[in-house]
Amino acid sequence: MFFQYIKKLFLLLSLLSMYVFALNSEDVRASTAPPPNKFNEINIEIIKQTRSLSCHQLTTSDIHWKKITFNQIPQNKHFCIRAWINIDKSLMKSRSSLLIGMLGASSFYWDEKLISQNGEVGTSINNEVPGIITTLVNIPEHYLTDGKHLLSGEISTFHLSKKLSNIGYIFTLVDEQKLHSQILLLSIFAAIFIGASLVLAMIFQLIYWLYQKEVSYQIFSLFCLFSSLILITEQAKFWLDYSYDWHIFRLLLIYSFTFIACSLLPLFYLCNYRLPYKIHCFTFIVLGFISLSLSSLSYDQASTFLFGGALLSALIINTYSVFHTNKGLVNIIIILPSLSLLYFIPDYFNEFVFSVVFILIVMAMLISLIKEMYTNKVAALKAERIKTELLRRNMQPHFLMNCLTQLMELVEIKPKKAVEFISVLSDEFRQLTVQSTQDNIALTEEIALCNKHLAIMSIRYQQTYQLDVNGDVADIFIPPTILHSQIENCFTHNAISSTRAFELKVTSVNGQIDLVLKTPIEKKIDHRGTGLGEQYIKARLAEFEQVNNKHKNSLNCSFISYEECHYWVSKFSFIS
Amino acid sequence: MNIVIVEDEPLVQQRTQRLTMEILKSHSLKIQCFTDIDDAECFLAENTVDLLLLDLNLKGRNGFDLLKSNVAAGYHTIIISAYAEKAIEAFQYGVLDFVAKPYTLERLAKAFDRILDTSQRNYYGCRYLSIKRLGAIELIALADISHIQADGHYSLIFLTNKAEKTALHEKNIEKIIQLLPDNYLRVHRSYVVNMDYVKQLLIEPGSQYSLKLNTGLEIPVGRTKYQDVKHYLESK
Repeated sequence: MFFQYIKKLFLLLSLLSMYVFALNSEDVRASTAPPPNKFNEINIEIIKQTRSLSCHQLTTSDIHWKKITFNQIPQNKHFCIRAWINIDKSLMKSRSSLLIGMLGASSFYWDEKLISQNGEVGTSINNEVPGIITTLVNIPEHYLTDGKHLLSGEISTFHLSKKLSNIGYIFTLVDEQKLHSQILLLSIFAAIFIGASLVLAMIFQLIYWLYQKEVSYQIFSLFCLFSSLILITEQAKFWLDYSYDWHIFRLLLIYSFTFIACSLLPLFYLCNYRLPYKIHCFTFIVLGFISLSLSSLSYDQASTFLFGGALLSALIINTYSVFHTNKGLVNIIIILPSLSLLYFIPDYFNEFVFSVVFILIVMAMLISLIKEMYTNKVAALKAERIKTELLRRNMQPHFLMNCLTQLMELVEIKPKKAVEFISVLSDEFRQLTVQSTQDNIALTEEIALCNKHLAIMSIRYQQTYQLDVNGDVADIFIPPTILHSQIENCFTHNAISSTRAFELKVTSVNGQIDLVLKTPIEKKIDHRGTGLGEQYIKARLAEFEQVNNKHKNSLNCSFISYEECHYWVSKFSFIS
Repeated sequence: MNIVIVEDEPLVQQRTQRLTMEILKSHSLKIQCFTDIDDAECFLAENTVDLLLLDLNLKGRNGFDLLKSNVAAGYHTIIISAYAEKAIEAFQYGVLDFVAKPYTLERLAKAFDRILDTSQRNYYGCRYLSIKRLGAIELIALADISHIQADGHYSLIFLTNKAEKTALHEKNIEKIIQLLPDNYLRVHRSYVVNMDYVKQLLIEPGSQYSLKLNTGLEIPVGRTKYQDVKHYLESK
């Protein structure tokens, strides 16, 4: 039932679009009963080179000539066409002209009098001069009298290198005013679409280069660019008077743009959802498109299939994404009607369908992009928060206040010791400030930082704390201050006698690096704090993973900590 | 004067001790230092102490539990801590003063003044009295106390909203009044009254004065304190 409604809706839409673009199709879809002032059928005769030309004469009998419609005119031939037309002046609202759209050189006569010369009709490719694709022929007012008239033309079509499904598009008497307003309407529609997609393409280029080099932004921008190029080239028939031998080149251009845009659509979703095997999927889709292009389909048909294929693969990708990552439902909702629109109105280059479908697709893509931008923003904010947190944690006011109290005493009692203390303290702060801006640091640097902190604590508690390091520490990089923060924690939660050392064991086997830090537990002041320290380390590791993965080093970080034999054990693993 | 200092950093401990001796050099002092409160507890339980200078890590819950048990004791507690942002909360539980680290001699001297000059009141807003009852620490809101009666070295606290009408505090009445806000008046050598509970001032024959409380009890007013009480009631 629902499907029936949808079908009706689309039929309605297609009727609407047909109405708007009746200009293109009036002749092709004309009914059998000829209305006045319209050609229905034309009579055609292929001209043999030996015969003299008599096709423009009123007296010539054309009863035995072949009857065809205009879109059936032959390719690579030199021929004559004749059409009889009944003029009823009362039905003519404004000036009538003859609109001819075809691929060929032609000269047309109205009742034996020449009215149009387009290119130069020839008997072979050598002596034919190609005419322009669309001509609007002015018929003098006094020719248009009530009654029967003969319109005859001599045509040659030798300049086409490829067999096309039809080479005659339009052959009709038109109301000039109506024609112009129709073309205007069409152009406005196309111009809005072209303008909008060009602006979007530009905006996303800027976003890509100035804001974030995210590949899906670039793909989206190119998609917008190529879909507007498709329409620009398609619209060329209205604003560019090119001779018909360029027609195949134009069709080829449109097809290439369509090919690119249709490849970009699935690629966009593959990149946007960061799906696995995206290169394989993309290669598969493009190979499918290439084999479609090599088939014997006409350009228009192949384009429609390309577009359908692109929509279908986008639909599949989104469905996959919905099932696996719960993203893309909106896209499915938008792509499905687009696909059915294409199914019910397969006329791909019907500007109305083309624009509506592309606007829908662009909307769906924009939704995905904006969602991604939001996610990225949240991630960026989090990373920023981590950095601030790092500074805040390490410049802990309590730590500072306690150190200052100590300093006051030293200044009053042993000024020399005070100077020594200040220098150790500033050493640690300096290193922390530098490291807080970095994504990763050498393990040796981290150990140096830990030793600085232990030196400060040694002075504060008048003990000798030290860190024993076992294993090879060279060429290992870790996120900054993860060990330091655990050592710091140890002092916040403990009072430690110097007899027990801090231990760090480093092992590196088959690309897996393990760091095991043991900090002594004595006289616990507070069992667990707020867990902020651990959260901080996890955030740091997550950021570290992300940064590494961006540079194509897949890395797995893990962190666990537990109590064992009067030690607090923190175990960090980096598996690449 | 017996003073206990609890501080885990040796140099800071040395500082507190040195400055204390300097400020109170005219008094006869006995100072004991400990690096943490667990070690100090035995000493505090077995000796009569006048003042505890406590460095407290007020980060977790443990810190405040320790604080509450110390302010329930008979001695005054002065907190010396880097956690200055916890000062208001510490005052609410009844510490005599809160000295933020790092501290100078002048600041510590000001804290000691409050012990020596008993006329100074708590201007920081004590809201609770901690008491030890059946081995546990209990917090009593000041608003629920109608009056306090001296009981030897202890004080008997009269409550208005509890099933048990009284509670015993280990501090003597002189020490308690130092922690209390202005609406608590020393009306008699042995009595401190929460003036919010006073119904009327009774003048009995022979220049005997007493205060009638909302609870129905009558509290005697000392002859020397009469003017203060009268003045307080009139100004209200």
